[in-house]
Amino acid sequence: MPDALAAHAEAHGHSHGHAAHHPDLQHHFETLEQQHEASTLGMWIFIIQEVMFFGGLLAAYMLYRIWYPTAWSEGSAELNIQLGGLNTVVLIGSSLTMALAVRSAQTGKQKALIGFLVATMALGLVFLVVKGFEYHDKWVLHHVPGLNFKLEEGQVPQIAIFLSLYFALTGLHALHMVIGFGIMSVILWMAWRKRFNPEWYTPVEMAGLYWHFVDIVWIFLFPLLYLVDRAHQVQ
Amino acid sequence: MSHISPKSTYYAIFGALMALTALTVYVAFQHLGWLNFPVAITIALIKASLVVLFFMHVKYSSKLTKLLVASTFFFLASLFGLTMTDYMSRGWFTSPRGTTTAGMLPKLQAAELPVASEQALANPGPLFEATCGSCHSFTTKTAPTLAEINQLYGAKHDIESMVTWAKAPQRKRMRFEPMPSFAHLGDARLHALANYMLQQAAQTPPQ
Repeated sequence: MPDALAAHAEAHGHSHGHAAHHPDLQHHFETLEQQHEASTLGMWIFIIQEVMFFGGLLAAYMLYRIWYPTAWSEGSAELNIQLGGLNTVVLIGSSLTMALAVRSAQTGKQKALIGFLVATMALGLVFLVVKGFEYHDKWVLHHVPGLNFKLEEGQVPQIAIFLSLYFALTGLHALHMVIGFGIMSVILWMAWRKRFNPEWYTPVEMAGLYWHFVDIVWIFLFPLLYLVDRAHQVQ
Repeated sequence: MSHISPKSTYYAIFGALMALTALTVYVAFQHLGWLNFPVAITIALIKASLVVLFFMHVKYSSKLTKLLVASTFFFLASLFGLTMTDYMSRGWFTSPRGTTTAGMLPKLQAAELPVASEQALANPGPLFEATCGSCHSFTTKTAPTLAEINQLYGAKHDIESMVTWAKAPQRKRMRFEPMPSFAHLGDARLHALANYMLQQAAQTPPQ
């Protein structure tokens, strides 16, 4: 196979317009499978460093949670479980439509691909709007450390640390959502121009990996931020 | 080219993720004490695994990809392990329960003990502010309030029980940090402090 490819590369000398290989197979790969595997590994390496990026904040979260359990309990009580829960459902829903979008690309269903990409983006937008309402509530209640923070009577001051981490973690997550929305726009445009086919749909799948990763971050943020010590607050 | 899952798989995974989301909210409202946190994290890990294996197709990926994905746990464990072993062990040499009281240690150490003169024992106010008072005030939410302590011990003026507790405290309420032992203050000071606390609580009516 390498010999055949070498001969083939010599024969056409990088001038395209021949039918010897798939138009999306780049010359430094031998097969589409190999090219796909390289993309997948590269994407996962990127995702691992993203995990570490959030990991630093989560380590700070753990440390302060152990030091100031009361602040975590009271701070978490200030967050809206309904809105947080709604956003969890919305985001996992968007992961479902994303997975179905990749499947549509795999099976060459052009219309379904575009439909699922639009649905994914729409759900992502719903998530950001709900997040916006939550941030607005926090602003009105003077719960934004560094900008307009006021401690209520009897509250422990370390609530400011909890809320700082809340904004850092959810803000960084929301930024990833915005970037994801941008990536999806490009994928949608490519899908619109019929750039994908069952042999080559790598960008759809890689964008999907990113989108699912952002979903996973939220899967952890929801219990870590919204559900701290809830049982003991109801008394 | 690569594995194509049937649509039903994706719907089933979505259903499982929804059920687990409902479960984690339900469990958060159950009294499980210290178990609430590990249970929440376990559910989140299961949800994340479902997304990774099925939505992200790792179940059908090459062994190299699987190894790479699994290495995430190694890197995260290093980050958390090295950070926590450092911070959590910093309070150990002064307090065996430093794991949760490390944040209080500077305050406690600052309260360098003067000689237990009769004068100091007669006016335990400053000592109270530097020790018990940093947690037990009237408005505190980090520990039982003075009023609550007065309800517990005031009626019988049970100073001995207060001193015994202060020397070897237990943890009754999970929402408070555990109280560190104050045995190092010595019986004389602890008696004076206990008397002072009940006095204060009786003088100032609870809000």
